[in-house]
Amino acid sequence: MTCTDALHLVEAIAAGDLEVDDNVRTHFETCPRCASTLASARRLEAALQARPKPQAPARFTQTVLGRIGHERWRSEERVDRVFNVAIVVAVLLVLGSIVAMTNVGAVLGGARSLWGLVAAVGGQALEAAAPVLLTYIAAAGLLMSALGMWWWADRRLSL
Amino acid sequence: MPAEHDEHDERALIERCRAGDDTAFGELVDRHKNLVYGLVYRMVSDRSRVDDLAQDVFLKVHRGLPYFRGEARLSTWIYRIVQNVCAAARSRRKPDLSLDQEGGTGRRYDHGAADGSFGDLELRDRLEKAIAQLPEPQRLLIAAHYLDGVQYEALAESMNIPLGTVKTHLYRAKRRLRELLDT
Repeated sequence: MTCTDALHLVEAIAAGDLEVDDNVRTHFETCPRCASTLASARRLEAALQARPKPQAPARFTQTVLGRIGHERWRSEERVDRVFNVAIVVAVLLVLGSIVAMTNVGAVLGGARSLWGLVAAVGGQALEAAAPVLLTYIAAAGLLMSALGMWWWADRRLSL
Repeated sequence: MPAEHDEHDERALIERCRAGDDTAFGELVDRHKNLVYGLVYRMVSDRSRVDDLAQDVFLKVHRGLPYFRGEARLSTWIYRIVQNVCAAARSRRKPDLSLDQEGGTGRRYDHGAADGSFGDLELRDRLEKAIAQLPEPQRLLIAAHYLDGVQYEALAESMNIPLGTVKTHLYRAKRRLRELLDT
């Protein structure tokens, strides 16, 4: 066995991952350089084993559960807010519908002129955009799927 | 048999957590908190952030439990979350303080009293500085392997690399540490 071979085994021997046979043992017993390296590796192993193993603080679990409770409360609050906004929108829609039903003629007239305006402007815009519209749609689709995949991967990785 | 028993017990605990049982989740935190805390402590140089980051790990565990398929051991999955949380924390913050400035919170030797076999503070300090100079993956391996409960197999599984590669990386890291300590 050469010193190069022996030095390759030093870490494994020091970690206790390798059973040393007679050939290896003889080399380490007779070669001062390799013996010194092995001793140094064993000291390092002992030092690593003896590194402080910090313990979590006493109220760690309670703090985590508290944060989870707070997070849950915030999520419920968010749901409540969305629900409240939905209620307001619904009420406004109902009120708007009642007002519209009492003024059917005015609403129809307004809608007709708005539609005329939209059709005129929209028609012109569509005519101008028609040649490249498909490209835009395809690009938007690709962008959306890329963003979707990124969001999904990021969510999985961050867990 | 005890391993199977533990596995069964762990699955039952996960199911209770998924059902929204906070007591069960508290039990899960109790089982893994020292591993998580120790790992974060060793990976993050700013000691004032250790508590928050260790808690963040468990918040992510709580959020992720519905997606946990149970193919790996829970500790392996948690270990992977620790890796992600520490990596994200390091990428968010400015570069670490220089080694001479390290330990700004003054808690560096908090646990020294319990350490009887390795009492030489100077040697320990040099070791910590040498570890801080290792590349991040090797540092993580050293941090995890020398905490109770994280074996080669779990490291290989969580890092998605073969067992032999884990050992090779660890040996290489230790060789580098010896070089750093000898200079």
